[in-house]
Amino acid sequence: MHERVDRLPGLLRVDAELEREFETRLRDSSTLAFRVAFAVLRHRQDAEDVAQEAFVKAYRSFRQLRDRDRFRGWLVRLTWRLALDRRRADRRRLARETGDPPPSGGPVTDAAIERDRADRLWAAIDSLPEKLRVVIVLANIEGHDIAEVARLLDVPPGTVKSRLFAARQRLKEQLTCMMSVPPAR
Amino acid sequence: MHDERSAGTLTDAALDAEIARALNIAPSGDFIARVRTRVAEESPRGGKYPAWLLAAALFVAAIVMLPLLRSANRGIESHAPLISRSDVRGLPLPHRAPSHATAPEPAIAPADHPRSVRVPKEPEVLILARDRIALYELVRAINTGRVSPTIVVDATPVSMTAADPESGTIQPLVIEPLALSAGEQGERR
Repeated sequence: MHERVDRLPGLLRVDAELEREFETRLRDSSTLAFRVAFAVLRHRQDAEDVAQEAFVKAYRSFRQLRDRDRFRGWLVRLTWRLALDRRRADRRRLARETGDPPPSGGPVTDAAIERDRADRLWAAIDSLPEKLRVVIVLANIEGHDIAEVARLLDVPPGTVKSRLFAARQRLKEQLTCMMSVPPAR
Repeated sequence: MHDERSAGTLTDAALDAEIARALNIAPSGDFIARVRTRVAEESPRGGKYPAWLLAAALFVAAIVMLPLLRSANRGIESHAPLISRSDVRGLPLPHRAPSHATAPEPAIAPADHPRSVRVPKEPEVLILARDRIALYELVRAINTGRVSPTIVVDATPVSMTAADPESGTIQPLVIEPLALSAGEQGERR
C-alpha cells in the first residue's frame, strides 16, 4: 500500500511531462501536418480535419514517439496517408453524387489567372508518382533541405536527392508543356 | 517565375518557389485549439494501453480465477449441512470462569458481524443445536452461581467418570462376562 502511494506522484509526473511534450510537438508540427494534408487535398477545411485526425492518432501512440525527429516523420507519413485516403473517398463520393467535377466558370480576373496557374501546378504535381510527389512537396514546405526530408521519410539522403531531381525534371516538362513554352534545355 | 518562363527556361529555383508559394498556407487560428479539444476527449478513454491489451489481461485473469472459484464453491457445498446444523452464532457467550481458564478460546462471531473481519474458525462439533444451547445455558448457570457444580457431578453416571479428580488415578476398566443361558454355548444341533 505504501509503495503504491509513494509511486503515484511519479506516474502523474510522467503523464504531465508527456502532456507537455505533446503540446510542444503540436505547436511545432501543426502547420507542417496541415500543409502536407493541403498538398494532397487542396481544401483548407478537409486538410485541417485530416491533420487533426493525424494528431489524435499521434497522441494515442505518443509514448512510442517521443523522439522529435521520429515524431515529425511519423506524423508527416501518417498525414499523407490519411489525406490520400480522404481524397480517394471524396472522389468516389463526388463521382457517385454528380458524375462530373463542377465547372470553373466566371470572369477572367487576376485572381482567376492565379487560380488557373495554381491548378496547372497542382495538376502537374498530381501527375507525379507518389514517391516523387511527397519528396517535392516536403522539400518545399518550411524550407526543408535534403537531410530533413530524408529524416521525415526515413529514407537515405541519396534517395531523396535522386527522387527530387526526377520530380523536378518531370514537373518542368509538364509545366512548360501546359504553358506552351519551349521545354528547358 | 514569369520572367524565367518567358525566357524559355524553368529553373529548379523558380519551380521550387512556385510550389512553395502554393503551399504557403497556414491553418486557421483555432486549429490548434480544436486539436487540443479532440485530444482532451481522447484522454479519459485511457489511451495509454490499447483496448485489446486490457481485454486480454481480463481474459487471462478469468481463466486463472475460474478453477479456483469452482474448487472453493465445491468446498462450501460439502460443508454446508454441518454448518447449518450447528449454527448458533446468534447466542450470547457464557462468561468464562477465571480459575479454569488457561488458554484463550476462539470467539464466536455474532450474527451481525461484518463480513470483512476474519473470525477464527472453531472446529465443528457434531451435536444437535438444541443440545449445544442447553450446554451453554448450563455453563452460564454455573458461572453465575445459579446452579452448583456438584449437581452436575452427582448427575453424571458413574460409567462416564473417566478419572477421579481428587486422587488423579484412573480407575481400571472392568469387563464383566456376559451371563449366557443354557443352550447358547455355540453348540449346534
